[in-house]
Amino acid sequence: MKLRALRLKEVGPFSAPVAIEGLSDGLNILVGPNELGKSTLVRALRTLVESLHTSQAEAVRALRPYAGGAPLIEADLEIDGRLWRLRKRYLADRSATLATTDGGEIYRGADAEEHLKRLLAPLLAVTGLKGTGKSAGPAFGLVWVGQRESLDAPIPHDETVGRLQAFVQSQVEDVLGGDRARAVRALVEGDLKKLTGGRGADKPPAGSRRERAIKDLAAAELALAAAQAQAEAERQEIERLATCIAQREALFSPERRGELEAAVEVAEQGLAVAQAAEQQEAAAAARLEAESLKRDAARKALEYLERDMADLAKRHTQAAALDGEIGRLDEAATAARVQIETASEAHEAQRRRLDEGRAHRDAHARLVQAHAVRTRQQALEHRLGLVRQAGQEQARLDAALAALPVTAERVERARSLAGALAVSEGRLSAAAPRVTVTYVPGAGGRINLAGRPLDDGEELRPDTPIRLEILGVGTISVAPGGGSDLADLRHTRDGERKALDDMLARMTVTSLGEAQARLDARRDMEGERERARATVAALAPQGLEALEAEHAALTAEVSQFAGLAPGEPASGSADVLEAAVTAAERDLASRQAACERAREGVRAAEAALNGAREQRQRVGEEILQLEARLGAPEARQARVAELTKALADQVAAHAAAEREHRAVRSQVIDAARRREIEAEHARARAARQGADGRLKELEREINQLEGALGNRRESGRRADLEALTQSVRTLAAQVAGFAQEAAALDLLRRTFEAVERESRDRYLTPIIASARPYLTHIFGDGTLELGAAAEATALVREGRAEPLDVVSMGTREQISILVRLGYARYLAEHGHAAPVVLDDPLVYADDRRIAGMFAALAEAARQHQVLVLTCRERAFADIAGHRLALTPWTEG
Amino acid sequence: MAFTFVHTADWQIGKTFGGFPEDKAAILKRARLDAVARIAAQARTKGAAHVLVAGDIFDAETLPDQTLREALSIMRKCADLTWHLLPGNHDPARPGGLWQRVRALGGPLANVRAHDTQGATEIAPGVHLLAAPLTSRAASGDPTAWMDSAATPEGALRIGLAHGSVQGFGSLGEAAVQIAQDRPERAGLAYLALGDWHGARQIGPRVWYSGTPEPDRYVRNEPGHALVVRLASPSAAPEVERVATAEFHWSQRAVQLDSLADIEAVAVEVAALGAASRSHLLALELAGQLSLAEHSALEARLEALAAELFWLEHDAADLHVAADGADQAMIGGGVIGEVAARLRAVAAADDAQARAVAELALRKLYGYARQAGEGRRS
Repeated sequence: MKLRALRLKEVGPFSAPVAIEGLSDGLNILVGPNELGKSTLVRALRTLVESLHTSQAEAVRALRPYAGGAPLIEADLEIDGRLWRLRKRYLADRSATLATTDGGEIYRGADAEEHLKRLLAPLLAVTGLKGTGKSAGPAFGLVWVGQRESLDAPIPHDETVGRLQAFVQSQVEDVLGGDRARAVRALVEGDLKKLTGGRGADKPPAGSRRERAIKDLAAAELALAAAQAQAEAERQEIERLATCIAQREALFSPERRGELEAAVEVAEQGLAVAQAAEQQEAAAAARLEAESLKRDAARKALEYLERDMADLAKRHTQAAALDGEIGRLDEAATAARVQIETASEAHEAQRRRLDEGRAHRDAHARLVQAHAVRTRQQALEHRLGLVRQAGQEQARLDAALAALPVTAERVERARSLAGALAVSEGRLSAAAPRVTVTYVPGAGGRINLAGRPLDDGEELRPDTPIRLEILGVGTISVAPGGGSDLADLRHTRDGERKALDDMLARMTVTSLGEAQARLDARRDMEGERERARATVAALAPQGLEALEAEHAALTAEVSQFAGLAPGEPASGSADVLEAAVTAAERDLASRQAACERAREGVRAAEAALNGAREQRQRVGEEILQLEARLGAPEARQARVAELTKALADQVAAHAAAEREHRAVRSQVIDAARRREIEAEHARARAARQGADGRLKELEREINQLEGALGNRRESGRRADLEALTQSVRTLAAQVAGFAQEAAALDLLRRTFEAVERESRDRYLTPIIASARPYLTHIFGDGTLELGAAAEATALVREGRAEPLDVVSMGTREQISILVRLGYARYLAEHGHAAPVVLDDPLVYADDRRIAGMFAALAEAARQHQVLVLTCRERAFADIAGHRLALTPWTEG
Repeated sequence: MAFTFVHTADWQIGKTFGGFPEDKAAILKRARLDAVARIAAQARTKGAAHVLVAGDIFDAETLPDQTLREALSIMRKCADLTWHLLPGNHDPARPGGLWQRVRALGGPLANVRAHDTQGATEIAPGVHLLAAPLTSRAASGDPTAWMDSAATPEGALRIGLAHGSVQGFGSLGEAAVQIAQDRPERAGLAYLALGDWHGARQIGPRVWYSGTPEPDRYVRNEPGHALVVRLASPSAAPEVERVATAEFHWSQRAVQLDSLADIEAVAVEVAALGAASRSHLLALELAGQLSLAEHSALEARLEALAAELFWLEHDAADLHVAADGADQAMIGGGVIGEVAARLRAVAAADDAQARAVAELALRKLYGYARQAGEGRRS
């Protein structure tokens, strides 16, 4: 289809009928300012082909001019090589006419609409136009772009997609079902969801038949397992019961019981025989033991008698020997005592000689001591005299010093006051006027001061007013300068002078020099006093009283030696006397030791004698005891004979008992055999006892098993294994059936998806290929990605997909237009050329891009008609194409 | 010396039928008890005073006493007959086991004799029954071997009663017990009555399995009978007559379906049963290939058929589907057509599991397509 002309009357802003005429096959451009009515032209064109002339739709009413009226739209359309004029008037004066320009065919009213529909049907089928006027969807939506619509990626609405798809499929001669396929697909998805929970899942929804079957199967399997376990337990109980009963029958029959009892009886008999033999042997052994005791007693009685007799003889021998020993010991003691007396006498003589030596030595020592005391007394008396003399001198000096008023401190104070006074006076003198007396020759002495004539050249420095009298002339008063400083200075000097005078008066001197002389004399006295004090301290460090006490003590000591002749004893006598005493002491000690040895000998002799005497007494007592026990000597032999006979009798009795014991012991069963008998007995008893226990166990187990089996049988809960097995089989088959059904539905779904994907790919691929040449002008090797609805979703450049909602406004606008050109090219290539109408496009394109877009439009215009309406005169100045103009239309 | 008796076995009273709904299972269970009365009726009709039951009288050792009482009660009421019961592998004679309970429950029953110990018993003048009870589920040796040396009076009619499989006869029974096929010759038996093989079958000139009187599974070994045996003398060949005792008939049938019409042959057979169809259990093994439309219709047809029978079940593992022209037309082209084509390709693969899934998917697709079509039309 091509648009050749469009005419409007009573439409929108147009106050007078207008028209664009003479549209070319290729690129047509209408440039005009804003509010020229370009968008109204596009809307009018859409209304003409979309809306029946009877339509009251809002889009139709919106075309009414502001002043009111009935919109009249007319277009010349070239369809399949024939030029048709389509004219519709809407609202108040509605009408429709469709006629060939050559007048060959003409349709009016509904016929016109119907024929238009037939003419455009193939085209509308692929551009989205329904042609009934009831559709709100944009007619030619894929290729007609309204103002601002170029910003949006073209997204064919559902019906358009379906029709476009159908168209494409028809091109590949493989028409795939539309609504019916979707309905089937929905049924598949619905049933699959009921079975698996939905796409890609395998979890049956809660409450679904499959889920119930799976749960039932799980429950049935559990019940079957439990029943099998129960059946197995039951089987084992039955077998165990049979085994127990068989064992009871086999092990506890009367015959078996008799065998066990017989075995016990035999074993007990054997044991009784063994025990009887052992008891007889024990009795014989007891008798033998008694005879042994009696025999031993007889033997011992005889032995005791013979031993006592031997002991008596032995004691008599001992007594005789002890009597001799006592005599010898008595003589030795007597001799020892004589030795003691001799030694004692010698010791006493020596002791007396020692005492004499000691007296001589002590007398000499007293003489020496008296001499020493007297010598010391004399020295002390001399020292005492010196001390007393120094003490007296010290007392005298203390008194003299105390009477002296001159002290070092006072002299020092006077010296300090004199210094200060000199300073004050110096300062006053410096401040005082200097008056020098100079006489003229002949006038000397005529000047008097206070009656004293002054000498020639005498200089006065009065610090107080003075009056000089010049005899015969008059007086001259001289006064020192006033002022408080001078007065203060003078006051200070006066104070200092008074203090000095007072200090000198206290020291009873008149001058500082006298005070110094008196101080020097004082220091000499102090030195003498110190010397006296040092003498006392050296000779009587403890004081005079201590020295006098020491002297009194010595005097008393001397008085003790009053009887002794004075004078010094001879030297060397003391050593001789001491040596004599020492020798005498050694000799005395020797004699003392001899005495001790003699006494020890006496004690030893006496002790031996006493021991012998005591032993002799004991032997005597034993002899008496033995004789008392043995009786008279004549009875002793009779007793020996009696005991000898008794022993012989007991020996014979013991031999008889021994023979008897040997005879009985031979009947006793040996230990090994005895252990065997005991073991046999124990085994027999254990077998019988074990049998009793086992019988009880078996009967208890049998009772338990019978009870358990009976309870199970009669409880009515007997698991029906066959029923459960069948139930599991049935449910397993049901679950398997569901699984197979799910697999079948999944296969169906996947097959549907595969077919649809391939189908979509088949129709999208040529569309993308159609847009490719246009994209090259702007994006080089870039290409597009299309979604399931054939909408452009991304620009792919250098292998990277850029979603359209993130690219720039300009890029998005350009892609939107290029994609539409692609659709139109695809349709044109397949015999369904439709004009591309662009209302105010390329708002965001830069200079380079706009050049590329012009190139794309130029190329598109070689495939199909293109109509561009724009207000951008300068920007579109360079694009080649047929320029259109809005011209007045005189309705023909 | 002529002696007539009924040989039966494998009553398996108390058997449950877990694969069935509870109501039908209860009916099948009851039918096994009722078979005892039918055997008694046959015995009276045929002039037999003794019924020899060759093992597996009861289905399990753990049956409740009430079940035992019911069975014993039925037999006790047939006072004109003597019932000789032999423990089998389902109800072995164990110390303290089921037969002890039978004795305790039944008391001194003159006409019900439990042969739970091996040995020869004179059950009628000159007629000695050599019973070989099983004492466990499996026996290590031939339980009839002792019969060779079992003493009976000269000229006595010796009848063996045993339960197990016959050596050389194949793995026929359930019990792991092997019995020599030539035992009658070795032991001088006039007849050896066997149990365990649920069908009626002659093994040798003097050896028979009676089979179960009431079938309990789909087998083709002629169950549902008892044998009336007439022995003229110890050396005479036994005269054996099968008599019907079953209430229910279990049958299996393989059906080749190349079109939906093939199922109609089965429908005709069922219709021919008339009222008997209500005691008929039928298992169909379906094989072949149907179109999608036919397969869809088959399910409805089988449901209708099931209503005519006591029980109908079918195995369609070998029944496949293929979309014919009409199916493809109904499915249509476009996406659905392409999907169907691809599923057909998968269904043509050798992998049985993949084929099954693909065929089911194809059937589903067919159903959805039809549903979608109906939706659009409406």
